[in-house]
Amino acid sequence: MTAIYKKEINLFFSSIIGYLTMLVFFIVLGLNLFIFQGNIFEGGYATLENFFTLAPWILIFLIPAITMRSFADEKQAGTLEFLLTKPITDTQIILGKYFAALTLWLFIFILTFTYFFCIKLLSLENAPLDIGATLGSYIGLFFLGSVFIAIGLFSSSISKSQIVAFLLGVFLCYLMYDAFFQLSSLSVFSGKLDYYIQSFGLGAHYESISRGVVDSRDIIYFISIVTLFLILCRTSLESRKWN
Amino acid sequence: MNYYLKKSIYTLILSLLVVIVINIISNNVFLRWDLTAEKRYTLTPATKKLLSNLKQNVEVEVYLEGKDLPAGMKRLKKETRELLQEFRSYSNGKITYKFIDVNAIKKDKEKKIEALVQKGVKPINLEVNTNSGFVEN
Repeated sequence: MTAIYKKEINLFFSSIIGYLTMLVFFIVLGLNLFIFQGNIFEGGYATLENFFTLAPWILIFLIPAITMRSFADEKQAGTLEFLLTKPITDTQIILGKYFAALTLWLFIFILTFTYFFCIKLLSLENAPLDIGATLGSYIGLFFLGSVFIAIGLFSSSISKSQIVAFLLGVFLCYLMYDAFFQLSSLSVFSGKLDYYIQSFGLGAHYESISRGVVDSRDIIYFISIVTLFLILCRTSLESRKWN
Repeated sequence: MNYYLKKSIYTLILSLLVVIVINIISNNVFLRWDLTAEKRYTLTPATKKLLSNLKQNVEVEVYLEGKDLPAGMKRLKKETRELLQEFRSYSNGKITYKFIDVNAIKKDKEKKIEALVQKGVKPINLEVNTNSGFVEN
């Protein structure tokens, strides 16, 4: 497992994908936070709200881009069969790849703390940045990223083509993040079922943690979705034995 | 059916069930930590008791929605929604809320607005200083 982990980490940082992901992420979020219309200087409040509402939408595109090659590329090159004949289990392969992608995400995630320090320094003494609430939002964002990685790995394990893996990953991430919320706002469900439908999706849980309230229900939900998609990923690797 | 196919299907169904059960349990037994500076989302025991003893569904309508709300109003809307969310999570889903844009009402707009005014909701004009001058809402 550690060997796969190290190999994947090396791949991320020796290829352009890792750096390109970071560059896109920081340019878009930085522009939105400090320069585009509706930036924090216009808003006048010391808060990172802007950042935390836009970041999930960027991640929906960026995380599948990170994970798209992990299985699809190995299938294409034919190295996956080689890897599977090695004396390691499928679970170990998946976990190795998962934690490598998670490490890259953690790296990007830690770099976003610069925004936090910027705004903390810019804020007035009588209207400080709410550190607790921001911490909650950061916890939510980290979990959201880790769920997207699991979804990305699963969609990569389905197909041989990286493009298909990417598109499927984006679609599934969007579905899990926003589709349930949109579904619940249909007038058929309003008033009764909408709350329950919303709580199937990632968006409601992310928003709930984002306020600065860390709830064990949300954490358990995030962890179970990660587990579920990793199990799905293993099933799709096992499908080679089915016929 | 192939042995491996069966095994995969069993694992999948079993793990799905385990995940659902864990989530149902965690929905009933949960902990929350309010990290905000002023404990904005912590309700007093009296409020919690009131919410968990609700017998009927309560629907809250908030007339605070619109396309070009100024940033301050947007913030107010978000904070209101967050507090209502907090109410809802203690009320076993009995509290529901929706945000309504008065200007976007299509049917009987005049009548509905009049009814609102009679209930005590007064329309106000809000002036916000922007780069390009004044905006009235």
